[in-house]
Amino acid sequence: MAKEPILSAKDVVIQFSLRGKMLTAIRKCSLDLYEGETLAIVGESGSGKSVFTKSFLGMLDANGKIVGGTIEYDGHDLAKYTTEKEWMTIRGKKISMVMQDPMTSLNPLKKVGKQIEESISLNQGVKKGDQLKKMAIEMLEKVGIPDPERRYNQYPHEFSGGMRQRVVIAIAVACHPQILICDEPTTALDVTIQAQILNLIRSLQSELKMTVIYITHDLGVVANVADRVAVMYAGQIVEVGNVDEIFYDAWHPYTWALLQALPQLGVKGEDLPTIDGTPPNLFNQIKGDAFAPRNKQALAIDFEEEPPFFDVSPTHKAKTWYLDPRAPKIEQPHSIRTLREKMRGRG
Amino acid sequence: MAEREKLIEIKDLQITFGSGKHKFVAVDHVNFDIYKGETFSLVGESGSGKTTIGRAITRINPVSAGEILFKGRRISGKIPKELDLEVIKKCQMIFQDPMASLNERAKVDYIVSEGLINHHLYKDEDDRKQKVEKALREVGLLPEFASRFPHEFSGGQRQRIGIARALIMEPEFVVADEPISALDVSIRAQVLNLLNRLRKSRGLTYLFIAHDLSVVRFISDRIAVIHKGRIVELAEAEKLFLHPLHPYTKALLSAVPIPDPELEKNKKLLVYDPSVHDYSKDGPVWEEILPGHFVWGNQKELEGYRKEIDSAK
Ligand SMILES: Nc1ncnc2c1ncn2[C@@H]1O[C@H](COP(=O)(O)OP(=O)(O)OP(=O)(O)O)[C@@H](O)[C@H]1O
Ligand SMILES: Nc1ncnc2c1ncn2[C@@H]1O[C@H](COP(=O)(O)OP(=O)(O)OP(=O)(O)O)[C@@H](O)[C@H]1O
Ligand SMILES: [Mg+2]
Ligand SMILES: [Mg+2]
Repeated sequence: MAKEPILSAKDVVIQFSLRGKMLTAIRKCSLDLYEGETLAIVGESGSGKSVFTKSFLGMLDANGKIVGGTIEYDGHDLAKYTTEKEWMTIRGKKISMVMQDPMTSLNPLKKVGKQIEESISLNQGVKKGDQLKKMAIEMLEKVGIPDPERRYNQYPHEFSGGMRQRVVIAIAVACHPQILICDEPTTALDVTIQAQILNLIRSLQSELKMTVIYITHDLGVVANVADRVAVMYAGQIVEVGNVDEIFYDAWHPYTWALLQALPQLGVKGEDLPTIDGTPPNLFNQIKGDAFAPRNKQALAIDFEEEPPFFDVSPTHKAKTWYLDPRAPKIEQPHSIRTLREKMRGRG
Repeated sequence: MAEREKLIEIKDLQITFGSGKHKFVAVDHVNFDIYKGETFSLVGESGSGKTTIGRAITRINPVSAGEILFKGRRISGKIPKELDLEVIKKCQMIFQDPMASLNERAKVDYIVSEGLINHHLYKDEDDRKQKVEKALREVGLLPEFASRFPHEFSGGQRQRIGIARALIMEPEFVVADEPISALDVSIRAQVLNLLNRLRKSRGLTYLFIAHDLSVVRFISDRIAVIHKGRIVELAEAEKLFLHPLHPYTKALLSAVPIPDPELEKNKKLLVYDPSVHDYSKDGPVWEEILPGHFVWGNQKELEGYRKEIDSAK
C-alpha cells in the first residue's frame, strides 16, 4: 500500500497500576490507520480493544499510562501528550469516540437535548439557542429517536438502553471528527435500527470524509462495515487483513477459535465450541505466544519465543509461528476452510 | 402432548410510566406463558418494553393492569411478605447495563455475593468465598478478580460479574436481559453453554432478552416478537425463523447480520411500515393461527397469513 497512514501507532505499551501492582494491558501493539477506511477491531473480551483506542484521545483511566511506543497523528506523537490542554486539541475535535457503556458517558442530571447541544456548540461554534435546539432535535431524529421534540426534554434514565446508545452516537458525530471510534456502538440496538445506524455512520463517513474504527463482537456487523479487520488477543493485534482475508483465509489460531464459536454454526441442544482455559493474567510477564497455553496444536517454540508477524499477502499478516517457513506444515482447520459453504447452507 | 407446567403466566399485562398528561403506556395487552425448563426469548424493537416486562416479573416495576403469576400464584401488585421474599430469591435478573447496575464502590467479592449475604444463604466465610470463586470461574473470570472494583474491568468482564451475581443465588427463574451483548464470540459460547447446562441440570427457566437473533435462534425454545409494547408474534424458534408471518417479524429477520462479507453485503432489507395495518373497522386480535404459533392481526390479515401458510406447505 503506497498510501500514508492517517494515524500510526507503533509498539504501544499501556500499563495500569492497581494497588501497588502493575498490569500490562497493551503489549507492544502496532496499528496503521488509513484515511477514509473502516477498520474493525475484534477479539477477546479484556484483550485491550477499548484501552488501546482510548489512548488515541487521551481517555485512559487515571491509573493507566502509555509507557512505551509512539502514536503519530498529524505530525505529533500523541504518546507524549500529558496535559488535558494538549488532549483538548484532539479529543472531540479531530478524534471522537462512542464509548462502550452509554450510561457512563451521559450525564444523568442533564436533559438529553442539552447534552447534544453542548457537543455541537463546542465544535461547530453555534451559539444561538434556537438554532442549537433545532440542530439537536435534528440529530436525535437522524439517529432514529421517535418523537424527538418530547425526547429532547427527557433525562437519560427515561430512555431505553438502545435509545441511550443512539444519543451517545449523536453526541460523538455532532462534532464532525476526522477519526471516529465506535466502541460497540450497536449492541443495545435491535437489528433494524442497527442497520439504520450503520448506514447513518456510513453516510456521515463519506459526507465528512471520516475514518472509522469499529470495535465489535458481532462478526455480522464486521462483515457489513469493515474494509479491514484487526484481531486482538492479550494486549496485541495478532492478525490483520482485508475483511475477506480474515473471514475466508484466517491464519492465527485465535482467529480460528473465534470463527468456530459462531452460533450460526451451532447445533441446537449441543454445546458450542469454546476455547479451553482462561486468558493470561496480565499482571504476569508473558512468555512466547500468549495464546499457546489454550491452543491444542501449539508448537514447542510457541512456549519459548514470541512470534513475529508473517505476511500471508501484501495486505494480510498474522503473528503466529505456523507461518514460519521452518514450521511443520499446518493446515487451516476444516471448519475454517468450509465456513463460506456452511453460511450459505443455512435457512 | 402432556400439559406442560407453567412457571410464569402473564395475563393482559399493562405497564405505564408517569401520570396525567405525561402518562405513557410502555407495555400493553401482553399475554404469554413460560413453561418450566424452557428458554423463552423476547426480541424486538429497542424501546419496545422488553426490559420493562422483565422488571415487572422480578417486581422492580409495578404493573398498572393485568397480572403475573409465578407457579400459579399472583406475584404482581400487593403480595404477602413471604411470597415477596421467595420471588426475590427464586427469580433473578441479569441487568442490561452492567456498569449502571453494579455498585461502583464495592469489590467484586461483595457484589457477587450480595444476595447470599442479604439472605444469609451460606454456611461460613469459607463457604461464601468458595461460592464466589466457583461463580466467577463458571463465567470465565479468574478468582483473583474478586478483590477488584467494577471500573477496573473491561465491558465484557463486567457483564460476566452481573451474570455470576445472579447465578450464585441458584434461582429457578432468570430474566437474562442482554446478558451476552458485550462478550466476545468464544466467551459468549461459554456463557450460553453454561446457561443451557444449568437448564438441564437444575431445571432452570429463562426469559432471555437479546438483540443478537443468531444467538436467540440457537438458545431459545420459543420466541415472542414485540413491537411498541405489544407482542405481534409468538412461535417455536425454528418455526419463527423459517415461517415468519407478521410484517414486523419479517423486517426484523431480514436485518440479522450474517458473519460472511459476501452474503452480508448483498442481503435484502425489508422495511416495516406500520401504516399497512388498517385497524379502523376490523380490529386486531391475538390469534393462535397454528398450534403454538400466535400472531396479532385483524380478520383480513389473518386470512392472508393462512393463505401464506397453505402455500408454504
Ligand atoms: N482502570 C483500569 N484499571 C485496571 N485495569 C484495567 C482498567 N481498565 C481496563 N483494565 C484492564 O485492561 C484490560 C483491557 O481492557 P479493555 O477494556 O481494553 O478490554 P476490551 O478488549 O475492550 O474488552 P471488552 O470486549 O470486554 O470490552 C482488561 O484486562 C481490563 O481488566
Ligand atoms: N423509568 C422510566 N420512566 C419513563 N419511561 C421509561 C422508564 N423506563 C422505561 N421507560 C420507557 O418505556 C419504554 C420501554 O423501555 P424498555 O427499557 O422496556 O425498552 P426495551 O425493549 O428494553 O429496549 P432496549 O432494547 O433498547 O433495551 C421506552 O419508551 C422507555 O423510554
Ligand atoms: Mg471494551
Ligand atoms: Mg432493554
